[in-house]
Amino acid sequence: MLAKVLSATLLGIEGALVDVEVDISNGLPSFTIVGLPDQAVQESRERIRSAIKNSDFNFPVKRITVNLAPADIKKEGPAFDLPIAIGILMASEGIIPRLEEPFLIVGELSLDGSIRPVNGIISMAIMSKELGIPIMFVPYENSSEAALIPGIKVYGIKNLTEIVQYLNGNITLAPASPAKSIRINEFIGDFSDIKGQESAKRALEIAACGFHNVIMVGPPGSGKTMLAQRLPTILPPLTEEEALEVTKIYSSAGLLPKGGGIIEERPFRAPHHSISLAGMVGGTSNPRPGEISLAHNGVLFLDEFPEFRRDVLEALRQPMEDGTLVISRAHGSIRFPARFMLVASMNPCPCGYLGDTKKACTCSPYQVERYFGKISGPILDRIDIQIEVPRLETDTLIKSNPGEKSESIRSRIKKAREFQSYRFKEGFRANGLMLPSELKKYCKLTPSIESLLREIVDRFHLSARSYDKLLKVARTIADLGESELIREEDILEAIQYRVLDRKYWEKKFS
Amino acid sequence: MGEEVFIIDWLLLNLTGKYRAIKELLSRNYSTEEIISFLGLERERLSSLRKRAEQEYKKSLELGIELIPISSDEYPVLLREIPDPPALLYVLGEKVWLNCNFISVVGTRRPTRYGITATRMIVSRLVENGIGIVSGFAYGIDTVAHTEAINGGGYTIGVLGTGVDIVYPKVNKALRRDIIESKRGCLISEFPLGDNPESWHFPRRNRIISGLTQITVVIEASLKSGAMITAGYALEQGREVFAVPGNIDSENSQGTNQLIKEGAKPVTSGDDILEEFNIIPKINTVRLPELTEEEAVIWNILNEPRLEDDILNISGLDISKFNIIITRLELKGLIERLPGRMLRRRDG
Repeated sequence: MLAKVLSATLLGIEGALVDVEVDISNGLPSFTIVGLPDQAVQESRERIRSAIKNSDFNFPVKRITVNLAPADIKKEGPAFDLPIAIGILMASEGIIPRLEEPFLIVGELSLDGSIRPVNGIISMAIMSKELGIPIMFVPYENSSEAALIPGIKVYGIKNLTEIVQYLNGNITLAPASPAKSIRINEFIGDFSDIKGQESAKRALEIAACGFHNVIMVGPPGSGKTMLAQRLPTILPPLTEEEALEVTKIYSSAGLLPKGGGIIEERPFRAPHHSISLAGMVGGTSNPRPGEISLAHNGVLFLDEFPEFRRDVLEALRQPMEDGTLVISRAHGSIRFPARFMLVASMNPCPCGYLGDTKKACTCSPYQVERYFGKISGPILDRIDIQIEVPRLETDTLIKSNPGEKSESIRSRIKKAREFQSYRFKEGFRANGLMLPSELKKYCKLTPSIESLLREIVDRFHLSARSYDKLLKVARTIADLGESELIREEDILEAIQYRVLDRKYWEKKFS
Repeated sequence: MGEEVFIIDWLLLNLTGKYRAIKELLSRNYSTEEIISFLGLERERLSSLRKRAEQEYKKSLELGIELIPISSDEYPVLLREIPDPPALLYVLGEKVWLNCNFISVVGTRRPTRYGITATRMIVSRLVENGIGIVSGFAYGIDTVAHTEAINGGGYTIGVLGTGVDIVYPKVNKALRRDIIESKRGCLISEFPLGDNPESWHFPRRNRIISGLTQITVVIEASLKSGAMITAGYALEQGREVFAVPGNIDSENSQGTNQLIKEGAKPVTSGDDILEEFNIIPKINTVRLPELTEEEAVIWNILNEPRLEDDILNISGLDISKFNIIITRLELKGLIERLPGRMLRRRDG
């Protein structure tokens, strides 16, 4: 007897259809799975055998061959347990599903026949909808996640007996209802928590508005992390499409909280500087999303930027340019979305006190030079906004006004974003993502402003590259002021957010 | 030819390091050969020293390094008076400055902002009034002092703890070039060419720093620092020591405050030193720049270097406006940024 069941696997973060074919024939009892299964799939034989027995079905004492097609993609994980078990029961016990439409099954079995949740359900549901498969049987705990995708019926299954009875028409099940939205960021603060640091706050507002990458330079304890953590609170909310992308990534990485749900806040990822290359960009033989993909549509915060391994930092270059990351493996290449806003922070020198008002810096100028040398030019070139975050004395803090609430900053940013998107007609675009060729088109300057710019470049010894960055930042400031033209003030303000260019603080004793 | 032999003799004498004896013998008008013979060197040592001296001579010709023996008119007069003046000075750069009016400015290699500001204030005032700066060409206060002297259009002498052909510290490469190329100063050393920075060189070269000038100003120094050694030499040599007073809780000011307790004259401005030279300080013509009302607000707040957040709090401006005004003032060359989001007026 031959039986065929539809199932799905994950390729990167996308679902891929897998046909599970089960053939039972006479011969010496055996149980073979073919079709590029990985270790977890091979082990499913033991789980399936026990689950079937413990659910009071007969496990056929025959020659069982399972094929997972197409045979050229690698199958991983335990999600095939349930479809294989159903296939075996269909082939041996003669379950004939009373369903007229095609259906898809995923789920991991436990030895007693109950069903455990799997990763990447939402991607599979999206695929299922695209392929026109209207019914999905998924583990009960994943069902509300799959139900987020409209247009397909999702049944949450608790154990093997339940699904067999349903297929036989003995019981009825109610389709699952979609999950509520969920939070992923552990910490949510508000910009009004931060006193002082007006310049840094303004710079982050501009950065959030134009999706510019930022580097913050300041001594330990000056509040760089505090500032970065609150960045998601002023970023405009995720669009529906973006939310789905983010949810897909988190689901496939197994990072969705129990019960799943759509992620509606922008992710904030802050990996430690000891992170490996695979951890940062994603990887291993079966590629999983790395930190940069988990930060997709959100913020990637790299504290102690120069302490990250060189190869890890260099690997950021391509995604910072394209917004995606392609990992090539023997079985083909996989594309992960990775359009993140990089927020880096570093100390001004190895000891951290260069420029401090009270404490003397104990680093030699050579050490300072070397510390900055750890960040390569190409990386720095991709960072539009560079600010200093000094340590504030209690005195200053007491006198400072409480900050503006995140919500009011956010509404300003939302408005300016609309202003921007009006300019860029196609898709998601922001000033920070402008190509050099677009600069001329979108950053028109009047002759008087051009001469001002020239004066600034001379005075502050800027390079051609920083000229471009200056223009981009000025463009965003103009957007915040809802001006179609870049004004003089926009340029004058923008230059204050380019501290690394100006080198005044690299010259330690100037 | 006679000149060459003469210089090589002096190179040889310099290599012996017996400065006190040489000074004594020279004052009795002995010739170089006589001095060499009086020093009673063993024959082998003598011939090896001579060989080395000849090499030094050749090398200095190649590198364009001037050799100034103590008997020369070009040798700094004040330096000749100390108990152990080097028998010969290696000079890289413009030597005409060697006998001009100088004061020595010394201090820690790890200055605080206060030390840097104080150095700049004092040095710029001295330079405006035609006084050159001697310092040790090390990190920190030394570098600030030399840089400020050159930038202010003054002249300066760097006394090295290495051979003059060695670039040390490496990060001062640009400063080294500035001093030499601008012809506004020179680097000098008693150490043979190619001598590396050995730790014992530095205390030794400090006696030259203090020896070159009538006054040594200590800007910032902890109790055990090279600057304190220089101050000690200055007193030994009968020169004057000035010190910049500092906070009593700052380690970098413990040395200077100690000096003041012991009788050093406290310095609070460059004018205190000018007085000593009997120079009537030039009156600073106060530039009243053309400022808009808002610019004037910031300018007036900046009567001392201040943190950006403090200026914001005082002025009550919003950050965007504030940054625009700051850039305008920067473009006018009136203010400048310091590390740590500090701002200050440029004319000190």
